[in-house]
Amino acid sequence: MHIDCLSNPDNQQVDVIISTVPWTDSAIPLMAPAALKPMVEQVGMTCLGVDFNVEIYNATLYQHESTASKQSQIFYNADVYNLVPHKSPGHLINFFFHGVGHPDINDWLYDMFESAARAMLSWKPKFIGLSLFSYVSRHSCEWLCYHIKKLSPDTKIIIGGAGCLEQFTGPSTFADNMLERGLVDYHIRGDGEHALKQLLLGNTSYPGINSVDWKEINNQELAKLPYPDYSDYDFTRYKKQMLGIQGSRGCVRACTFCDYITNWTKFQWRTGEVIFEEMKLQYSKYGIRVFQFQDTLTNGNLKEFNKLIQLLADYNESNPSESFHWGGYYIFREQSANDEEMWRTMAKSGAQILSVGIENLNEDIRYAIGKKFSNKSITFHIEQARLHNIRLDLLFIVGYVTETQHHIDQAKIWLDNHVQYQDKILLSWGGTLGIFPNTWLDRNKARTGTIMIGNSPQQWVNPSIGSTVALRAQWVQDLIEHSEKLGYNVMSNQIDNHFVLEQLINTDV
Amino acid sequence: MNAVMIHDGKECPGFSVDLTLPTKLTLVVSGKNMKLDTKIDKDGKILEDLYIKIIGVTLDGFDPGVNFLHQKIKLVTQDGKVLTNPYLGFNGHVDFIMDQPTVFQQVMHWKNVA
Repeated sequence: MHIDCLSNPDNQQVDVIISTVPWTDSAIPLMAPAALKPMVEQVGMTCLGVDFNVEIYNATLYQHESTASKQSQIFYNADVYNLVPHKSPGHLINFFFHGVGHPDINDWLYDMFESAARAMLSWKPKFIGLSLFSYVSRHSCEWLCYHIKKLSPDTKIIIGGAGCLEQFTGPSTFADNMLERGLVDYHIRGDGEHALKQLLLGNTSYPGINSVDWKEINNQELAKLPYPDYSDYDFTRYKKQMLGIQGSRGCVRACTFCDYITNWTKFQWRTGEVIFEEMKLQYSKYGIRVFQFQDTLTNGNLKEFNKLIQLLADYNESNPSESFHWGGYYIFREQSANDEEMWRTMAKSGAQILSVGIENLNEDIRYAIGKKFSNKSITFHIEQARLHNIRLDLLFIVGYVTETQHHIDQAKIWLDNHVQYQDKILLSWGGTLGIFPNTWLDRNKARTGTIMIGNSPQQWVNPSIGSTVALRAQWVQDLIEHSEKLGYNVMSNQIDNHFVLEQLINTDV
Repeated sequence: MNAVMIHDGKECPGFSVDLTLPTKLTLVVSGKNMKLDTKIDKDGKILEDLYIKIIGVTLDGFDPGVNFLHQKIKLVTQDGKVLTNPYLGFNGHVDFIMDQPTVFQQVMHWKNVA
């Protein structure tokens, strides 16, 4: 099999290859190889940074119409990407999720792993770094490493990314198993830029290298990180001509359910000017003017956010034929006097789709979570978004520790009363609430009356209010059906809903 | 009563072998005396038994999965019966047929959903 991003017709040599690992449901370039390539080069090594995922993703795309893609029609540029469909994309996806075979795919997958390993090794790298965006890349990673090590046991393999971790905190069973079996040599966790650099310099005791503890990058370090280098990417392969960008790490909120903040404990941000400069530079290099923020929130630092949107708005006004557009995660705050002006500027800045963690349509629950904005403010922000033609993806968690049938009924009433926004908002009901290790909810189980009944974060009950796994799963289904019946756009999330569907089948839990 | 696994003339709780695919690996169960080594009460209930239970098989470290253990291990007894079970309680043999050319294809073949 010819793997375009790894082909080496001139028999060149690099010190390090950084690659994504299939399969990630992403129609835009995955950032990690581009972000890490300049870090490798800072230590005087050469690097090939490629998005292997996109070639395999395209093979599965023919029948698998990405949920994320469907909801981002506004960014489509469907005519330009190269699509090489496999005849059984469903079986391929089944392999990536579950590691199982099928006669239609086994030979194809073998060819893919063998060819990828050979193509990588044709560059004679000393190190191969594999980035796992989610757990769906694990089976591929395992087999790819196996084929690489079979061919070249001395080539050092490094893995990293959220896909290596079962949970943000604590040991990684997957990575530890890969290390024990000799399939990889190093696992980097947390902020990988400096750890990778130190590893390449020989400092393998740096925090985050084969260790649970790691070192967070601070504001000054974040500001000094080089811009991602996409020069090894082939943009004709992407369905959406869009680049990822990072404005911050960590979060300004302390939501009770969140395990992200147990891992990234401090909010770190880049300035509006630096982000704007990166956008301009990437446009000049790659001709792409649409950016997707990859951080948890774009407007964590309001001062810098306002600076950024003003810079973008001014630029767009002066350059109407070359205007920038962007999307990302956004937090609602309680309505304030300046907000109408801010929404106007956001629209001018090119904001197109904002994903907002509403979590719950009941104020008491939202306040208990730590999101202190009223229902009145939600309606205000949605109305502003509608006025300025900005699409909102509203993200929810169903079945908070205090949630009862009454709250579900109230949520349905809210939906009944806001149908006028059905084509401007996308509802993502997600899965049911999970109690993840080291979160506030985990530390306060006695206080909230919750009891874990299994190993999965979703397997908990609250006997005092009759909250069970099956009931919460049923609530998700009810809310999906109710909102679909009313004509809302509803996100169908295969991964989140897997657990819900399992619980609906296994209702005795 | 203790059953022992013999590999290369030595007792072992488990073993690994170097193989070149495709190939067939045969596991032989022998020496069990059905009259002495399986004790049953007057109602036919087994009180004590001598058996080997296969608890795991891996190929180059890759586990073919729980379905493999329960659906693909077939003990052919000395009188020709085929028992599909990882619990080997009769004299006979189990053939592990590995007819695929590579480890990946063999493991996937075992894990085929079709």
